[in-house]
Formats: sequence, structure tokens, C-alpha cells
Amino acid sequence: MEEEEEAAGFGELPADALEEILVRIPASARRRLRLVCRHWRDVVDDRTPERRSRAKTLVYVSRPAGAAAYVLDDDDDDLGAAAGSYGAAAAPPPPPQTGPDRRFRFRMVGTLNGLLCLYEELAGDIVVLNPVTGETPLHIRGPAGNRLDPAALSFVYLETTGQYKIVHLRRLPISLAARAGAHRRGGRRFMAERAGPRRNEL
Amino acid sequence: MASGSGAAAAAADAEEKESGSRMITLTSNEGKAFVVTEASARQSATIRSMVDDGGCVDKGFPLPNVDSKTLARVIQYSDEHGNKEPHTVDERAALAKFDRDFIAELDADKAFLYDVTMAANYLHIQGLLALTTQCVADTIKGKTPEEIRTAFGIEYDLTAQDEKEIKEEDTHA
Repeated sequence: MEEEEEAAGFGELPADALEEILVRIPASARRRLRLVCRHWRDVVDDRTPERRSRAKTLVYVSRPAGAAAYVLDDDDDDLGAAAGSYGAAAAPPPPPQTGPDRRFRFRMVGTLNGLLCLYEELAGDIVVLNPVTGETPLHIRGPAGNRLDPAALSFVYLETTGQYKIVHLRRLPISLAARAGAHRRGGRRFMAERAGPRRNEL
Repeated sequence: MASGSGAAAAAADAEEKESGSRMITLTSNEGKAFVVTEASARQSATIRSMVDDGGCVDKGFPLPNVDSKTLARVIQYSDEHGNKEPHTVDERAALAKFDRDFIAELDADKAFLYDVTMAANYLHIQGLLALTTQCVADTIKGKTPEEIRTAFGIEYDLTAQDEKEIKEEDTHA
């Protein structure tokens, strides 16, 4: 029959059926499907509203005494107005006061979708932290004696698969090609990766 | 259960009035009758509710939105899932294999996959809808919007302005 033409049907799939497809795709990857066609855009907008809330501003403060992250819960872009109203705040794992030598020095590796990736320079731990819930979906103990170069760490989100990766370039040739390659060929260079918690909402 | 003639259906129906072993006739939009067990037909929530409401079991159910080729394939699924109840590990594995083979064939023919998805949606066959939509979702993953349009033969109807707005919203949100 005229199957070549009927194949266009997926562009007009009833909203119910399209929604069944959308719920099987990570929320963050759904957004891009709005670029497929008008109908898909409308269904993503209407049926998957959880992503429609505006992104909130995440502020990370590093001090010698420790570090803290704040989520500004005001939708207003004006920082001056929002700064006074920050809500949830959660510090990274609190430094236990065991001795004067036991200090923590956190470095921000990066933030993605409201998750913080921190590198603790003294112990070498890498932590992924959700400052809103206080959860740490990933905590990698530092490799003893195997110092990482904090500047060579990056926190990557693969939008199409919904996976997070922490990438560490062993040698860092400072060139654009190498940086781009780290994203594409992260699998070969990563030191830790973990299926993404489908955490899309703050 | 394979398709049969209407006469055979009526005969089978008359003999087996017991609930659970009744036969039900489904008719495609081309007028072709398919006789299935009630257990198979009950895979469809749409038909199940009509049967339970004391609907026209004897007259059968015309399905004006489903063509014969699609209906035959849908019945293949609902027979497998409705007529058998897997108890052992082997039986469950066999059913899982059936599903894998079933969807692999549809995956190779996106137009047919679309027809079966539409039928599963219309008939509310939840397991089949889950199978087909998961297949579509798997195809979508890792593809750009343009690759998705190509894979499913979707016409691009966004204006440049639409596209600009979508991209702006996404960088903002």
C-alpha cells in the first residue's frame, strides 16, 4: 500500500500515545524533541510540565572553613532581589573536627542540572551532590597517593542518554581539539561514570 | 488464534458460552472477521469493558480504525499474552523472546510500527503499547531532531521563528 506516505504518521501521533513515548525518555532529553515538529513541541509542552519551571540560580561559596551551596528560590532574574530569599541550603559533607590537620578543601568541578560536582583536594574524593535534597548520588573515594589535577576534571552530562560522567584527562594538552575529544570519547578517558539519576527538578 | 470465517466463528461461539472460553469476533475496517478467544480479546481494555458491560459479544466488535494487516499483528500479540499464562521461568523467557522478536520486526518497518502503536493506543492494550512506545523511545535516544524526523518520516513544520523561540526557551530554562 502507500506505506511511504503513511510513515509521516508519527508526526501526528495522538497526544496520549506520544506521551507514552515521552515518559520513556529522560526529561532533559525531552526538551530537544520540541525541535522535531510543531505537534511534538506542543505535546512536550502540554504533557511534560515538570520541566517548565524556570531554572533556579545555584550559588556556590568556597571558604577556608568549608563550602556551601545555595539555591535561590526566586524566579526573578534580578540577583539583588533574589539574594535575600534563598531557601534550601546544604553544605557538602561537613568537615568533622577531628584535628587541626584534618581540613577540607573543596574545588568545584562543575554543576549540571542542579547537581554539584566537587573535588576534595586533600583526600582526593569526588562527590556529586544535590544541594536541595542533600543527597550524594555519587561519592568516589580518593585514590590514595594518586593525585588528580583539579583543572583536568570536568563534569559532563550526556543529554541523549541521560548519563553523567566525570572526566579526567590524564595529560592535558591545551588545545581545543583535546577538549572536544574529552566529551566525545569520554568513555576511554573517564575515571568514573555512573548512570544518571534522572534528576531533572530542583 | 488465526482468523477464520464468520460462519465458523458463530458456530464456535454458540458451542462455547462458558465465560473464558467464549469466542469473540473482531472485524477490521476492511470487513475481515477475526475470531479470537475472550482471553485474547480481553488484552484490550476497550473490548474488555464492552464485554463486561454486557455488550454485543455475539455480534462481534467492528474496529473501524484498524486495518486487517494491523489487526492480525495485534491479535498475534494478544493471543500470546492472553491465552497463555507463564508460570515457569522458561515460559516467561519464551514470552520475553516473543516480545523481542515481535518488536524487532516492527522496528524494521516504521510505518507498520506506527499502525500497531495507533491500534494499541485505540484498543488500550497496555502491554503492546508499552512495547511499541519503548521501541520508538529507543530509536529517538541519541538522535538529533533532524535524525528523528528522518527515522520516522516526520515533516518539518516549524518556522524559523518557532525554532528560535524554542532554543531561547531552552537556554533560559
